[in-house]
Amino acid sequence: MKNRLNKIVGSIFGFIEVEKPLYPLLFFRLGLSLICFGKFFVLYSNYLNFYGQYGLIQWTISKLSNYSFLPHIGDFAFLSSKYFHLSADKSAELILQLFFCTCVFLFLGLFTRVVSIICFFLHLTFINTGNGIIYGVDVFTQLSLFYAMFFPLSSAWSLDALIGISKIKEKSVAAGISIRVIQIQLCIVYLSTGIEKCFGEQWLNGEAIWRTLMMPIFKNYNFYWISDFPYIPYFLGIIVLIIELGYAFFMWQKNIRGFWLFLIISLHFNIGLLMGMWYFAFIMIFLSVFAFGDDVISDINCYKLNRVLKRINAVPGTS
Amino acid sequence: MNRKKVRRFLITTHFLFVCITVSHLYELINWKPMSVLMELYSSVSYTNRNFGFFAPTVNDDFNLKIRAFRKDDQNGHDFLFYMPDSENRIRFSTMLWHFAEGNSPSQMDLYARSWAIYCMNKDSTIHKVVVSVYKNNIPMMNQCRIGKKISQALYYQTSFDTK
Repeated sequence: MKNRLNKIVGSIFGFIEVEKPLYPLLFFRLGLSLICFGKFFVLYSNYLNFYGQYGLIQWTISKLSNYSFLPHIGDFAFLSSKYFHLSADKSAELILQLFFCTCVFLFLGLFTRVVSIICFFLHLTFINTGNGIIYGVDVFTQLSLFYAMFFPLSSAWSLDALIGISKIKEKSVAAGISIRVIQIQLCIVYLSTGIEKCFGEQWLNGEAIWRTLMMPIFKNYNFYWISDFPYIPYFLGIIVLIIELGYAFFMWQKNIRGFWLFLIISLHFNIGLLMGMWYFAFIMIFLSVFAFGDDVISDINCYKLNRVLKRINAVPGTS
Repeated sequence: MNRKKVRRFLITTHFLFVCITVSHLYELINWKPMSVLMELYSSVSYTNRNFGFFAPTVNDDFNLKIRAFRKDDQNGHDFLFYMPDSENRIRFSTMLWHFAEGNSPSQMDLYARSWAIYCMNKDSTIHKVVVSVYKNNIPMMNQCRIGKKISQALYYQTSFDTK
């Protein structure tokens, strides 16, 4: 019994602890830092309205609805007013500037480990302060920053490697674990969201797609005409369910995952285009490309190699 | 060897938390120390959450209208919010979803109070604020085919005065 259990554990971790190239981690570091930077750059004009002491959701309210140990801009403001005599708004702006700096450092790969930890805590601070305005993009950015703290991001073409803090590697088990962890996380995310959608009648009769397209907040185009063709939203709803449910299974199939990656990218691109949720679309596409991009590239290379070999074998006298 | 064991333990625990949360198993287990631990982990890592966006149903959409009154002003004026792009607009709408989340009157009152103070801070001449939240009723496809359009219904209203 114990031997059997050991065998199962061994095969599970044999799957997770696999050697993989590090270049996807460079993509992860660059992409994540750009998304973090861009997300707050867009909100810059409204920063104090969303995160300020007397913004739309005031600090007393956001502080109340959280665990007291979680970081909050109000805590920093209290300390900075006590020791540096800064106003609450100035402290909030200082936190944002610090966050922008950490994003630049993360992009360059300078003091990567420390910077990713600071970036994680600053982003957590923003989420807790602006807990009345968070949606999917914040959840997945925080999730990515959480993983970034443990990933060997400095081993992939970073300034850390240039100045000798870390060593550049072509392949490593740590990189393999990093990729596997995101792959598993994404499969769980898509499978669970697909199953939950199946429980709602709206996704099975097309009303979910119809409502989403008609919601005034997402209404970038006029879709009234679609009510005359109810099979279009019905068909689109089923397609969404198939893509999300199939993600957990088909992304592991060598010949299909390239197509499924294309489907998931198309799904999120359309979310960006039709609903205007571009940053949510970016982070989801970014995570899927990071997780399965290398596997898809390997599949394509393998396919090309097989074609070349077939051609060589087809030429008489070459086999 | 020890490092490897610790790493394996952490990965297993992590995904155990994720799976228990997304599958709603924590509702069945109902063991307080574990649910507290998982909630803490979720509030920091954001990895073990219910990821069902727009699931199982697509929620309603809301509009916020704030009517501001200066002293001795009977008509008042609309207080407008500057939302320059889709990302800012989505954040604003998300705030309204959080406002209506759980249909909790105390939570709605807190949000409304916060918006009123925000207006009064932005313009110190504002004496009174009427906060109204409207729900957008989106007709079903078959209703739309017979001519029904999106309508608004008052969902919440309150007013605040400066003393």
